[in-house]
Amino acid sequence: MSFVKGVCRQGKALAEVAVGAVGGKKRLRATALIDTGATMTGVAENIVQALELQWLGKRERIKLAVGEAEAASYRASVFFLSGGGVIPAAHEIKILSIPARRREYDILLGTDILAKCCFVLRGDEFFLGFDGGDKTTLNAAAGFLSPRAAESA
Amino acid sequence: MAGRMTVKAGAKTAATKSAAARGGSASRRLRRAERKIRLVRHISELPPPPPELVELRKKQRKEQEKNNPVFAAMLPRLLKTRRGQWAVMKKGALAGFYPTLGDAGKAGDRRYRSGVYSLHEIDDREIDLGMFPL
Repeated sequence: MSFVKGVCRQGKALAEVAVGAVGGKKRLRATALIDTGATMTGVAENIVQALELQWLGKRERIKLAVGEAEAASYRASVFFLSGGGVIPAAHEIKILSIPARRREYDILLGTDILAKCCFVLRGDEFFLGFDGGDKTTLNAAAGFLSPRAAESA
Repeated sequence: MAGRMTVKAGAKTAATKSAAARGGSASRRLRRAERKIRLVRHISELPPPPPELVELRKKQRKEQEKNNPVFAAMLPRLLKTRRGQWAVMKKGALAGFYPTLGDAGKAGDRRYRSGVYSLHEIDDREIDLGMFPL
């Protein structure tokens, strides 16, 4: 199982990702906020425009904590970057274009991508496991479980 | 604690062995992987998109705009049998249904060499960005 290890900054789980057009030659490195409260992944609109992503039709209605808004959707591919290499998070996915503001992150990773991996948050550290690894394997790999406990789980 | 250390040490050893087998450290492998996917570190380093891509996107957008009202009219019927699937459309007609966006895109590219077709998700689920300030 391959996994991405990260450290929370000011309580935010921020991961390094690469985003690009499907089949495109260039991928842009960006920081993403892991947001388990978002059902869809969003990418800052300046990145969407710079990468010339394919528009996917109508503006989507989005529910926010305060009211509703609309945002355009695009076709993109997203990869996680880790010390061990590049892990495809989603070869092809529908993403939302979100306003580009001065933030610590340009991408909002929603549960559409997070559902494809196993996510563990403990203290200031987080881990994302891939390749079919379950929660127990990930906990063991992250050092949260002894191998004996992992075996008996 | 000992167990925790054993797992970490084991993982590191495996990673080192794997790196050695491939002829490089983890950071070197990352750099190689970055080159493979042509990673750009900052938006300012991105070259302007080629004119042919800009032109293709314009045509795709036009096609998508043309097909959107047709698809919207069909959506309630499609939701009953094909919820969660993706549809490929061309000139206001459905060209096929596929389980994922990737499959639909591949089928569209194969069928329409020009790349001018539209993709539609058969879904009406609510998108919730939680506390994110849009």
